Amino acid sequence: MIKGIKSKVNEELFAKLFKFSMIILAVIVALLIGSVFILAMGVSPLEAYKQMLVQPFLSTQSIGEIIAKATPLIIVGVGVAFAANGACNNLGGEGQLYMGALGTIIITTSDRVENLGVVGIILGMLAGTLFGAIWGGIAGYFKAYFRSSELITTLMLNYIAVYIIGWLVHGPLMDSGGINPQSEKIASNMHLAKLFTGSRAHIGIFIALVCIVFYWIVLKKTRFGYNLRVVGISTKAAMYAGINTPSYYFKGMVIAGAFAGLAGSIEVFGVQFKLIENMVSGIGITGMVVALLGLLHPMGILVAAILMSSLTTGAEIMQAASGVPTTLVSILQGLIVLFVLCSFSIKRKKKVKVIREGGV
Amino acid sequence: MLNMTFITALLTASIRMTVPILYPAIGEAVAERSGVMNIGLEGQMLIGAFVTLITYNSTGNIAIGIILGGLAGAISSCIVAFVGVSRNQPQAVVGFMFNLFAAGVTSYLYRVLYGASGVSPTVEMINPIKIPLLSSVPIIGPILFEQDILTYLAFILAFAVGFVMYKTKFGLQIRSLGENPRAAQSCGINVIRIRWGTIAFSGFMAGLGGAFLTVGIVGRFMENISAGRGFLALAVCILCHWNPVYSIIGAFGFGFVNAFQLRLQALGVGIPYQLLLMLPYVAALLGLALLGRNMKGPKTVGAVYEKEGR
Amino acid sequence: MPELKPMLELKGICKSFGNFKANDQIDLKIYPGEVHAVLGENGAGKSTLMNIIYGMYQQDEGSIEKDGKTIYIKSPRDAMKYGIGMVHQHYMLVNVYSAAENVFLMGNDPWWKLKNDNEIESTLDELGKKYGLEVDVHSPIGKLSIGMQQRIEILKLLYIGADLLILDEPTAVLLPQECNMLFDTIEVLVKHGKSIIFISHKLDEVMHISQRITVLSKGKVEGEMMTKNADKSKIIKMMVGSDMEAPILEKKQFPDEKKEEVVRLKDVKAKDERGVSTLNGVSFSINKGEIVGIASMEGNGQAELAEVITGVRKVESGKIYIRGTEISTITAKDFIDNDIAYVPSDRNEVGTVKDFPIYENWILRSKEPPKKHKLLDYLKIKEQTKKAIDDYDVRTTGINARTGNLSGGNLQKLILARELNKMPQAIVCSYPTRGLDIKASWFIRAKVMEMRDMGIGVLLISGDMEELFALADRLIVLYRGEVVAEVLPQDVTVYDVGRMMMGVRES
Repeated sequence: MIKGIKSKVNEELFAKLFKFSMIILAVIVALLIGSVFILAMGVSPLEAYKQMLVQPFLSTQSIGEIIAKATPLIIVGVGVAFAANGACNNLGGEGQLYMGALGTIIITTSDRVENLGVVGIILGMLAGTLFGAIWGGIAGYFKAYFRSSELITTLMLNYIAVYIIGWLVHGPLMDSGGINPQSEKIASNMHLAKLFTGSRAHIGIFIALVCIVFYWIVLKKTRFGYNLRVVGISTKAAMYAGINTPSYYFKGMVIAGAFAGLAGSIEVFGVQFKLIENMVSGIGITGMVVALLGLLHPMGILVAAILMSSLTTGAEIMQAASGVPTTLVSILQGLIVLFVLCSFSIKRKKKVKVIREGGV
Repeated sequence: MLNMTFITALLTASIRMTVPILYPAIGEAVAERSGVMNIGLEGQMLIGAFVTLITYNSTGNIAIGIILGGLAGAISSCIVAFVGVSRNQPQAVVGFMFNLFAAGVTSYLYRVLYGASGVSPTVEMINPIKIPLLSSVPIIGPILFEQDILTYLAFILAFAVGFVMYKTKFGLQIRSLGENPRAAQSCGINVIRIRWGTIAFSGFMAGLGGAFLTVGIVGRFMENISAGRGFLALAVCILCHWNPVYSIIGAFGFGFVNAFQLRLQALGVGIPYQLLLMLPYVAALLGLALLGRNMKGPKTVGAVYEKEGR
Repeated sequence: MPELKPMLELKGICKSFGNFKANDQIDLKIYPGEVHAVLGENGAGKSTLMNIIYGMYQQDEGSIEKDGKTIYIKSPRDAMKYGIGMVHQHYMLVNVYSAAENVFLMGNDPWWKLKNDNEIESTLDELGKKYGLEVDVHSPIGKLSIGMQQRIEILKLLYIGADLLILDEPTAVLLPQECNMLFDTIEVLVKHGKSIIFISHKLDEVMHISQRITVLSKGKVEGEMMTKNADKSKIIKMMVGSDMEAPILEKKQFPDEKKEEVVRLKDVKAKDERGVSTLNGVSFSINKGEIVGIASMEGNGQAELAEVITGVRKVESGKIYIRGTEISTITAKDFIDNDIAYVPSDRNEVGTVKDFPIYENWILRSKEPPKKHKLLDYLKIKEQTKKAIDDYDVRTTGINARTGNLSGGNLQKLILARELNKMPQAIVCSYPTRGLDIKASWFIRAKVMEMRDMGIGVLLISGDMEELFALADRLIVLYRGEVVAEVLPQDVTVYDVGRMMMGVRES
């Protein structure tokens, strides 16, 4: 009996360590390939990587930047992870972020809410979450009741959201006082407090951490999370268990959208303080990367988010210092995920094929 | 506004705007019929557009540029084939991450090669080829028969690929992979190999579409030159029932909206241009809502296929 | 009489999957113009062996000789080259294609050949006439009956010139008259000099149709004989492995007053996945403390019946009453709330979520899982799971083990434990001992009896006549989606029921 426990623990631990080390390996290989690109710029990869990977941790300002960037990534990542547990691929983080920001701005710049301070922030976040939830819900509804793959609907909704923002920001929502295509700025008493001076990091990070805890509790400890996970693994078992699969597809997408919307809202209150084009560019995709690399695990998402935001921050430093374009990060992110995916299947081949009944 | 010159110009432009959506749509129709999903079309278009540019810049020859652009799309799509088919990872994620990677690579290399100089090199655009006799037909003539070679090729390929898919044994084999890959394997068909082939083909087509963007529409390369066309091609594929010939209709629909909104902008009609740009995507959504519900497409698109036995 | 040489000979074939030895030193001789039956229980190694002959697997050891020469079959294409063809249990047909298109798919034409349906259709029609096979070569396969699909599979093999046809459990899903057609076809094929390998675990069929029999058990050849010399009881012993007597299960007789209806079906109709009507107006009831056995050949509606009673499938028409109240809503949740438990035939894909740890599968299909402050009380859940594993002797490394790693018998015990823990009013058990070894089967059967004695209304769907007769209080025979008989097991013989299952009504 004790031997059994020991070997069981070892097996699980081994599996987790294996996955973890594969991710590290993937990162290393990606960095190696990245160095070829760096060389193409005529820059020494060692120099560039020092600026990108080490420098960000050397000043409080850049550490603050990492935190500021990680905040929305964690939240979007949680949303993507929720949906992924329920077999929904949310590619629409981008659009949902924008919609969240839009909802927030609409509420907070309205006359009634303008000067409400903390209450205004809360209302704004609720509005942002709601808008994001609706945007995600559209794709969820399509999947549940029109049987349209969420892959395509979320992509379409992304473009639609971006164009809506573009129109509003150049037109109806444009700040009457200025010349830039952006909305009115939110009142200064509705800015999220900074963590420490000299950086953009703000207390939104605590909200992000709450999101992670919320994710874990709901997913693992509630009936809803349980049902969602069943739907994600086996629709047949879900039918057996009396779970209404289409409605869970819908709910999964609504939740994903809600979190992304919340992230957009926090960006408004913590970093941007207004609505403007390109304000959340790339966060949607990076959020997906974060959920993937985090293996849908709350700690994993946290670590992956910090990793990604350090990469992005570091890339900015690197570009300023040696001129290597920040788009290197996209290359690295894509490579890392692709390699990690490759490593998943190595484990599969090791498993002995289970003989199906009646098939021998 | 609604005079003949306007309409003729509009339709001619529409045909041209159909092309960069039609190419990847045809490719994806073949891929999805064989049971795989290539979400990486967008990235392959970018790569094709980019490679065409740099090839032209070094050789001065558009034809080679176009061919290499297509090949680059095909070769890069092998990444999707490897991770998504051979390694059995979720194809949607693989394709999407590939797009991220491709956007990064093209943008980065563009900056490396041309960023410093601040000059964005232009390419010689391909010339329209007038087809004798047919182009003299009133109204339709100049619209359909004064297009360039890539445009003609796109439409020819739509029919040719359709023919192969539905009238030859090869097409039957490909389609069987989308319906019942086990049955196909038992007939001795190498499922994995053909799926690699169809993905490479879709990558090639996407690459050609990207090449066309560079030499046929824009005249140079820029970030996000594909502007979501690779994704629109996915919608066209489904809405047009995975049939390359019907895809002409779908692609034309989007091409028309594209050309239309450009003209409306130029005319200074009061509608903000972003709302017009939005139209293709809204149309795709509506299409999926109305038509997507009972679509009976290839059964196994994206499903994991484990080769039986050893 | 000159010594006939075997047209195909397998010598010392061995094949393992990990630690599991599926085939152990198997010799097999197939002679031309003969039906050679390969008999064995589920798990004996039949399918693995056939897959090796057909090129889907390669043997670890041993050789294959055709007409005396050693050959290497590395893929189905190679097998086809040597004239070997196989009709699998799950037909290798593309459902949206017609027979002609499926044949075209398999044939030897080059890839650029143009489709010529008419040409192929006429060739197939001729071939069909030659061998007495009645087929529709034009319609999509999906619209044809299972029997006709099988004939098309056979025709496909004849088209490409197969001399050896392997038929894997061909009668498993056939209607009775289709079985007879199959046997007639086999006779015609043999007359034309073809060889048939007939895989089955149905002894009577095998005695009827074959000239030679090989019995497999646990991966080894237990015996080989000419059918005319075969001794039925010896063969059964070979297949089962020992002279085990099934424990006699005492059936308590409930006095009539205790008969309380739990579930009643009234004229229930339902369709299957393909939209084909498989339940065509079924009416019967299940009482507390009784086992109602459903006897039918596969494909006669029993699968849909199980799903309809447990709420997994909605009815097309008709009514289902639970304890007198009509269930008009269609969600499985309502059936769950009314305490109807379900032990499905597919343990791995339906009855459990295979990637979950065991304790997480404990609350699957649960009406009201243990909760504390609105959150799932995993402490209690794990406790219950541990107790169940101990009580039912489920062999596993622990409650955290991945459920998919459990063996069939242990998995079934877990599911049974789970469903019984819900204190159901009624339970549907669908093929509960399918694929299980003998010991596990007896355990499950004893448990089913226990359920009945506890007062639960049990619907037992099984393909095992011995099981049905031993356990059921009442037998309902389903044929073509209709109830053709409702009998007491003590009043009929197995043969009678078999005839009814085949649609032969008492005159």
